[in-house]
Amino acid sequence: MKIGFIDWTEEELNLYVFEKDGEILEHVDSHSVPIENDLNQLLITSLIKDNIENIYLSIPLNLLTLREKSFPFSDRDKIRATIAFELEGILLGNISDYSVEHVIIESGDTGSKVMAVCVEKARLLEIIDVFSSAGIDPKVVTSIDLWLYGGKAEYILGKPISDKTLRIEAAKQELTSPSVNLRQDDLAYTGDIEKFRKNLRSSAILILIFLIILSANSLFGLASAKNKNVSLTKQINTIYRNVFPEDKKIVDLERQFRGHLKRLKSKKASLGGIPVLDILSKVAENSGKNVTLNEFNADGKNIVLKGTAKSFKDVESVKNMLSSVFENVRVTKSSADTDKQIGFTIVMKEKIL
Amino acid sequence: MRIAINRILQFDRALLLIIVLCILALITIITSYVSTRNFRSNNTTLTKQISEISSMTEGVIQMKGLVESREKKIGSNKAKGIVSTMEQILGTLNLKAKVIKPLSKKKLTTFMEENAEIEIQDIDLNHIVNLLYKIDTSPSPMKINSAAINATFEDPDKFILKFTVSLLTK
Repeated sequence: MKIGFIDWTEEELNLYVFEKDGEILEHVDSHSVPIENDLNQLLITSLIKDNIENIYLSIPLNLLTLREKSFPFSDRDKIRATIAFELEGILLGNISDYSVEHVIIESGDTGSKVMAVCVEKARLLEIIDVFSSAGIDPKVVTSIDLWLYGGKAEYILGKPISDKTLRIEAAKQELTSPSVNLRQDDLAYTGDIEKFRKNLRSSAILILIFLIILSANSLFGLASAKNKNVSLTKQINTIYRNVFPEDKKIVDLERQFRGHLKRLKSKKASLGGIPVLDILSKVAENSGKNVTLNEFNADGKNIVLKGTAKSFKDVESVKNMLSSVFENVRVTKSSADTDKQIGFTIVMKEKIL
Repeated sequence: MRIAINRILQFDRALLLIIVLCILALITIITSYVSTRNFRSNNTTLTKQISEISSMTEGVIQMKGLVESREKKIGSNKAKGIVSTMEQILGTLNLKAKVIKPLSKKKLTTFMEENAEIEIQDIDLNHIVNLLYKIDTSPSPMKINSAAINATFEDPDKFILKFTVSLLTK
């Protein structure tokens, strides 16, 4: 992963490129462009050519307002919470117009000495906007000069250290642990959140598309199943009405059908008797040519047929043919006669619904 | 990360809308899946019922027709007795019965059953069929309780027909 550190000094704009491998930062490249008038988009664009993931920015000391303050405590959080009130009245304008950070210069049991680092929010916003117009959103805005001078005001007033090796080393230290970050509150860096939000939105859109396709498919399946249900219900009702047109209302079709069938069966049993003509007709249609029937008997329970056939195969064939129209068809007797005819007896039952 | 997610959910309305739509789509999928499954199971049952009922339809219509015809006949029956009714039927076919023996009368739930045993010798198959058809279509409600047809030794085309028949009266 490549990290860029833009070191903005009064004379030039430097870019130190670092390669991050785990926790190790290694300086891999440097570029510089001189600043002739003021910082602008073209200058930044000409400086950054590589694909760099994160950019840190160090601004020159002349953009900062520095104030030294003493505190009777050395707790960092306490200092952070109270420093803005301490600076009230000693900065030009309102303290809320500044982005305030601090560097602890001295710390002891009795108190601490702190360098307040302030920058006007309007100026900081201008700087961020210039970088944004070049497609760069600095993650941290700091000043390596503070690190170089250890926050000591007496050194800061002198000429800035221009040794590149020292500045690169300071930049490396800043990348590891920034001494100050002036991008705070409403000017805070939100690039990561934006990236995350974009990724999340893209993923959510993909999931939504997938779910929409899936729901369309399920709705189509539902509509198809419902249509089939309507069609089948209509079909079964038509069949039922065809058989029992006197039934005005169909509540439970199967139960009603079974009820009617039971009633009809019981009535048929007492009114119908044996349909001898039907049985004879079926027997005649299914007994085949090689069979002669001599005896027929029907007593309401069983139908008995006696006759002769040319072969056992013919007897089996008659049995099979009768099985399609009668129930429990069985050959109870089949034997060869003296005249090479096969005498047989078939017992069967009428098919009942 | 949690703070970032909270921030996004609070401020990214588009994302919130997408999430709401995803939830709605999920609800649609689940409910339609359950309903489809119910419909499909119902359809399977209906298909089974249709095939079962269809296979019985013809038989049931026949049975119904028979029962209704018999009930109608019973309602309008003016026959005097089983013996005279049978003699009348045999007469129309020029047949003579060797035996016409009246049997017991039975009382069933809503009607009476008057039985007789008939035996006809040397009858051919054509006359058997005609006689059975006449009994079936007779205006008097009659039913055959048992029947036996035996070929004669002398002439295999002639038969001995024995059957018991009932006349149904109110």
